Amino acid sequence: MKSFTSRPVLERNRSILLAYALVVVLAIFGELVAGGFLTISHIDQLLIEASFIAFVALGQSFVILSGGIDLSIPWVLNAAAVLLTIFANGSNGKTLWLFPLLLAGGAVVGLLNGLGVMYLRIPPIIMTLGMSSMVEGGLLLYTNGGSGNIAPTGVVYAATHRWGPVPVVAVVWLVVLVAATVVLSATPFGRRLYATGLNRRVAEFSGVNVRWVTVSVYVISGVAAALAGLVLAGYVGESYLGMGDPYLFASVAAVAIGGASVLGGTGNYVGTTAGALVLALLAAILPILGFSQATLEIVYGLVILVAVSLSSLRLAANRSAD
Amino acid sequence: MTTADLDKTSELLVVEGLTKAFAGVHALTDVSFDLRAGEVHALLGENGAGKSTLVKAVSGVVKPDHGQVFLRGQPFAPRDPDESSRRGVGVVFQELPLIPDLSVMENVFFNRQPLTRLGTVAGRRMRARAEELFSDLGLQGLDPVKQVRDLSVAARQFVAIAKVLADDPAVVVLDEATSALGPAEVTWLLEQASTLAAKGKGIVFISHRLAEVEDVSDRVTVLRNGRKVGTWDRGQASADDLISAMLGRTLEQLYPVRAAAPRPNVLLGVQDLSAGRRLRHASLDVHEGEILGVAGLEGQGQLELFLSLYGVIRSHGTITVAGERRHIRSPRDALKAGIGMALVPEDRKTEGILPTLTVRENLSLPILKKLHSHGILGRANERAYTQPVVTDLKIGRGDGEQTASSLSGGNQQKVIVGKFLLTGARLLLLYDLTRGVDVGTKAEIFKTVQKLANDGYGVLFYSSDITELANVPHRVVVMFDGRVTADFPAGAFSQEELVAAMVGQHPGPGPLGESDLIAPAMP
Amino acid sequence: MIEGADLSVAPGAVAAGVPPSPAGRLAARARRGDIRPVAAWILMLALFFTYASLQSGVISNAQIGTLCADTLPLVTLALGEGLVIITAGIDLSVGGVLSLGTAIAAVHFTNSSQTLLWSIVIIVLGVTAGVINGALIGYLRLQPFIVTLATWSIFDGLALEVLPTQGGSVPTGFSNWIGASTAGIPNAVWAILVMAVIWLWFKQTKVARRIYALGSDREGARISGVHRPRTLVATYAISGLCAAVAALFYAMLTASGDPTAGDGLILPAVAAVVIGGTSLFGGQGGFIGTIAGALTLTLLGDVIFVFNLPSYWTVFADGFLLVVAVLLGGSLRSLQLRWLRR
Repeated sequence: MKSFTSRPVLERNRSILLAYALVVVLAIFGELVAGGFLTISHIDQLLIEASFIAFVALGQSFVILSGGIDLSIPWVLNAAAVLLTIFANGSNGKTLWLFPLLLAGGAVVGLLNGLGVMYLRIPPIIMTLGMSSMVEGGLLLYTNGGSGNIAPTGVVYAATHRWGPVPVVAVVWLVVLVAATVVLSATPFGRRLYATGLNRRVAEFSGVNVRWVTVSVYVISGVAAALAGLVLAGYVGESYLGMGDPYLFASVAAVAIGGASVLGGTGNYVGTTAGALVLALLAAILPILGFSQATLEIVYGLVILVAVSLSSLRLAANRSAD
Repeated sequence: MTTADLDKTSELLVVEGLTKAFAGVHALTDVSFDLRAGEVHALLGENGAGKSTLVKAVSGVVKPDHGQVFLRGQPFAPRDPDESSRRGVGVVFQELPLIPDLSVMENVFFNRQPLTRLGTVAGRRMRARAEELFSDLGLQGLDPVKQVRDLSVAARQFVAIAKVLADDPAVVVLDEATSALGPAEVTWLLEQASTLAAKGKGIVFISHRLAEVEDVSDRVTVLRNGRKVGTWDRGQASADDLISAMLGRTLEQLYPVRAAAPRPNVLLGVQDLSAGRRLRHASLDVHEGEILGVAGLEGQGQLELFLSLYGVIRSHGTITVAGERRHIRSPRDALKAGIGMALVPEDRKTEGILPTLTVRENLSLPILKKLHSHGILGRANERAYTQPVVTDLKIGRGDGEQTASSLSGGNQQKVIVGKFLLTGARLLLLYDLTRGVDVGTKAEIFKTVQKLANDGYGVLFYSSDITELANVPHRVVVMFDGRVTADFPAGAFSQEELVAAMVGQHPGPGPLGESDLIAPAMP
Repeated sequence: MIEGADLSVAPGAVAAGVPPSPAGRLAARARRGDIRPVAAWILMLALFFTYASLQSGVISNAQIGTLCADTLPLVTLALGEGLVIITAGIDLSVGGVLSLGTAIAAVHFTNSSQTLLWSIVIIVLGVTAGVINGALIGYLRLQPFIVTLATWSIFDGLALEVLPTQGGSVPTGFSNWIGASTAGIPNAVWAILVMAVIWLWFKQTKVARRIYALGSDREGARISGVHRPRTLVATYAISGLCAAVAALFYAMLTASGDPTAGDGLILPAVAAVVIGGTSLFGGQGGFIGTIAGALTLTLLGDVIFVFNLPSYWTVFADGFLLVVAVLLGGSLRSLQLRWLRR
């Protein structure tokens, strides 16, 4: 039986509940501002768009939990999308082996990030920032700046198809949500990850293989980013350079809204999911109110600031209340 | 005449009713204290008695919850030690927080650097001032332009002292200033204290070592568990009086009956172990059921010894556990070999546990592999493993569901020890476990350690407290210059001999004098 | 007895020997100095001569001028970024400030008085960004990367509001300055020299000491009376100021506006700082090395161009160099220290 008396459990739950409350508030607000906001088809669209954020935020969640950050997500996403469309060029034939290959590519980038952070002791910001540039440069060189190939029809179908009222992509998201939550809260790996994020040295002294944990989360992030890219390419129907750019701020914002501490060690994917929903709702509502894409970026920034400020104030209040 | 009878203005520094609590722990409760000009007033107390907190409250590092401080009759509440020093109370802190990337003189004159007309720091003038100051203090060997990062711990201590004296404060507080110094330097420091007092300054000399204090202080105040026990003039109280004031109980009460004799088989064999720069071909044995104490001044290789045995640093040499040779390259290797370690980290913030997790979650961390079926952790299984340890060691409330941060310091230490018992470790490495812990829980920790020995575990026990070493272990080895240089069975050595071995001298009348420390308890 | 002690065993002993000669003092100073900025300059010069020999073999004033002009926005950005890194922090928002600055310039720099007015606005905006960053990091104790990531987003958004697509223009009088010369020396070179002189002065002030102290040892700095929040506000404000000035230089250089201009300059700015020998862990380093770092990056781009490789190689190379520089910087320093200790 879960013990509800230990404070960390309540603490984590409170910020997640707030995040979901915000989701509800925004959804209602959207309906008030524009009729037809909460129709099935529009909700489906929102879910799909939120799922892209949620996929990249999955990786970012794991990395942030371990005490790091992954800035290379946008370009891994972009590379996966572009390479899919270039190799497949609209036809389904190669998709069967392209998918795993590109996911593996994401894993390799993540592996390099993890090795750099762990063994070369390069700070995560720097390592992933540098890797981002390398992936970007590599992609630009390979495509020579061109873009716009067509995604294979199979992927397009999968990305846009629905089973009744529910989009396939949302189902995938649900599966990921369940899997991630189980891993984080009920497996040795999850426990070790939290320990590593809370205090690396104590974790290491307690026999946790901190290196393995660190490298794993970056690999997970790379795979998640690649997955997001593949599905996004299917949804949009094509690929283009720069399609990953909005997802950096979004991935961090989703994690922050979900109540995770940027220092690591607290938070979980349930909260991040709420964060993704909040961001997708904002992205839908702002244009209705007449704001431009630029405003969305400003809002992302403000949201991150508010979320981390609140989190920090709450942490300080708890410490003095001890 | 008690403190209350004296007028505030005749005292140099007056502390009234100071109270400070940290996260529910009362570090200071209603402590009053006064310092006269021209006197050396010693502040004695065990680790964790509140001496450092008192100093931090006076100098502005922490803000007291209640109470007031007066300097020359005026209220004194500086914002930080820098301002405190400028206004007349200079503190030489125990932790030596200097700025490593700046030079010695930059540190000494920080925030007081002489400036040129352009607003830049006047390097040459500063250097001259530094050299003058060092010469006055008898520290000619100190190089003003050397980076603090490159200095030894003792040299840094001197820089910290010079930094405080540069402000010429009316009150100088020396907080455990001798902990990093060898005997010659301690003598120098005590002489300096006397000289400064003779010049009319008030000196507060904080230590937990009685001998250092005895010759030089005019008055002694004893703190215990955050409260003032009493103040005595020189000669008014005997060493025993002071000790029982510091401890609050007799030695027999603090140190439990010694554990049963160790068993004959060797649990841990260390031969010719070298690591880093400081551990050089050290050798020792620990038997089953034995508590082996390790004594040594700072930096003699004992930390490297412990870290090597636990696989945190790389080492060369032979390590055998229960007769089998082991190559230990990581903590996981050590755990597999049956070695566990409880290390008190320098910052003491975490106590080696994860404060936001529960006791159960902390305990189960090393044995997660045993607790899952098909990848999922079973709560019931986890509790089945951890509960016996919680009960056996009497950790906190006893149910294992408490948040680790809500436990007292002593209980947190038990969690650390308990963690390793669960891994099946037969040998425990305890490094300075009792530092900063209050006397009450220290007794509990000693009882736990004795119990472990009786149960057949082997314990390697490093402490910076010589009294503990005299009363808890079965044997004490001394580390000096990276080697094990002496081996004393319990009860068969005087503390003079121990200290002499620690400073690398032959056993004999030690430099610290006859009335050294506390007499060992009779076995 | 105590290893590495600078004192003789008895502290009261008189130091032996005569005070060292000026040459001896200089040698001592050289031994104490950090080898990394020197290494950066050597690297830069090696690259420079390679490039010059590939071009025509003659090193002209114009060549140096162009090199400095091309590097000017980057090196100005890196000046502020370096200071932030010395406090063991990082400032990602400089990209946003630069983007916003060039956007404003492209839209509002219509005549000379407007140019002056809006330049002041840009600078004020940059400093404001820095103050916000510093306040949040210092007073609310938030992590630098998350705060500056957020403000980067905000200022990028603002830049897009001002100038939704690439375009706009600046007065030719304004943009010509960066390519012109004064008293025979290219203005860009003057600019870098002036910044170097300002830095050398600034480094000797008490404010700079506090900034270094903060990065070197946070606790030690606090005990020594450094007010962390105020010092951080100053640090990030300077970074914002530099980003704003960099925006002006960028506008001069490109003569038009690009609302995403800054995004691609953040990494090179950090790389320039690291190549120049500043440690990411704070407390060490300086602008003189950073100048070499920035010039190195520009030269790398030029060399790639000369070899007829696609310019995209610079994107890759910048990232790669950053990682390599972090690795080498640490190793180089440990090697130097080990050599000094022998």
